Amino acid sequence: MSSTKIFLKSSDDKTFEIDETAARASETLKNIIDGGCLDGVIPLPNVSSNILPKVIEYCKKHGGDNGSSKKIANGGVDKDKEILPDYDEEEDKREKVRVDELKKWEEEYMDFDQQVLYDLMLAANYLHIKGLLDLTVEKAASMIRGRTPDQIRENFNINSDFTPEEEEEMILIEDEWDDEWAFD
Amino acid sequence: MAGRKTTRKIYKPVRVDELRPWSDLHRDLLELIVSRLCIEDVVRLSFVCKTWQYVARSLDVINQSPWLLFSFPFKDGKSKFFDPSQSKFYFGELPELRYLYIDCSKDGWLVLSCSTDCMYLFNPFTKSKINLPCCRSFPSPSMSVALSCGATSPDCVVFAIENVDEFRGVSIGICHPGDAQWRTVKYQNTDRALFCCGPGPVFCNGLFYCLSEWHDNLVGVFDPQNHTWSILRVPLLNLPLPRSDEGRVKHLVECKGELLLVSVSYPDKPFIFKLDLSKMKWIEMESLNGVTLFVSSHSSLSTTDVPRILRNSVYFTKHPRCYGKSSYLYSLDDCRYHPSKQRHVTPSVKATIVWIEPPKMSHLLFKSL
Repeated sequence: MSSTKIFLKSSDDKTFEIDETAARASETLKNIIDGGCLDGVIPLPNVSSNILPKVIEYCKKHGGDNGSSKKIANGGVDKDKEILPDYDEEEDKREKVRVDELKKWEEEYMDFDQQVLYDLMLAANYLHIKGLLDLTVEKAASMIRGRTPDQIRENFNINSDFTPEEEEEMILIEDEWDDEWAFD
Repeated sequence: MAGRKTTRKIYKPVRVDELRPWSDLHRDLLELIVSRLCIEDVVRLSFVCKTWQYVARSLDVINQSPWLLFSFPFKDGKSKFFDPSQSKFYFGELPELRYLYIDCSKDGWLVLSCSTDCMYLFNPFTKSKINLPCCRSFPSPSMSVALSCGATSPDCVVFAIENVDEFRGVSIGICHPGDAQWRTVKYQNTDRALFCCGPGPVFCNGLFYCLSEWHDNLVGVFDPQNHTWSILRVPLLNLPLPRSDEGRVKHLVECKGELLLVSVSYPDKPFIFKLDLSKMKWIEMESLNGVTLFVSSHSSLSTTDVPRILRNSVYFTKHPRCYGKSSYLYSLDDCRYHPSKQRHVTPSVKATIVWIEPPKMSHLLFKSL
């Protein structure tokens, strides 16, 4: 395992250190590294110093993924193993532990408010970190599921920009919908 | 790294100082979020703010509801649309529809004809107009017309059928957009099958189907590829006598590659049948399995999963003669007619009313009333 250090500079000019293997979790960083145009520090004008450590933390956990840890990311399902004749029960148990541990880590890692979620989603998108983008998008979706428009606005701190007339009309439609759908 | 225990970390809370503009979230990201939601959630999301509504409505996840087009050919060229999913009327200046009859609609296109033998394909959303060949003797005002698909598709065929020789036969014409003339064929009825074109025609699985007016045991089928006309004999439906004096109104509808027959006589329940070609008979359907049918005399169609459109139901055009004064849909789930809560003015007899499939985001093209 290589331990070459990469330096990342946030939008507000703070520099952070990350192992090259971890940095490779980001497609964007991977391309920069492989492109060989490393000039000491990689500037990230779209990621602030509040968010960058959070991103680095994710990369550390998932970077340097090789065969075995990728299986965790896929929810522990490994199709290759099923066709192997000498199926290893011990290995299966260890796999399960790894998956449980990762789930717990993700749960704690994702414990933040919508303000951070927004920035982290943008950073994951900009840096092309698929796993992190999936996590943040899923969290945003979970804040919408089963919620009324009012609750969604509250969750994301959005002000309605509909005119009072439009609002009223939507309420009317909603009521009619509920009435007509009640027997469904 | 395998199996190694990690120590539990207490995470320092991360703070961001500015308010995040979620309403301006990049469209690609919002689409990613929407792709993980069910249809009900997407509909609720579309009421959060205008930009989210725009994105939600433009995505494929929300199927567009058919609209009713009210055309008043002898008035000032103004037309109305009704979107049943939003209970909204839209108003459109469509002078192209003046003095023209609407023969049918398909994929957002209309076939229009006038008394001077001219026919057109017209898309009221894109305003595209395509002339169809004229002919002195064919087509005539009494014909029934169907379109296989939208006029921009290379597979587009216009089909017209009419009774000739005092119901002793039918005359069939087909043409493609850009053709110089109609290709017409006459078929004489045999004693065995006195076919007289009635409900339909409708395009289904590459063939045009038409039901015989008085005999629902005769189904006419035209193959536009091989130019063959055949009449299928199926057992009679033997429907109970309707309570209303108006009799039954029948519609043919294409639904997922199958031919359905809807027979309506308010206040009796509508009967829905599916043509089973292997057994050569109409089979009654107790459920539409989530599908919604939209029926009108000039165009009938089916949809699935349209938000705010009742599943397992038949929507009508509110023609008072056939469907009762205020009913506009029948649900097969609770087996009853439902009135419209919309101030839905009973259209005058001078209006032509057809269901039409608008492209997505069509509500932006017209003024809402």
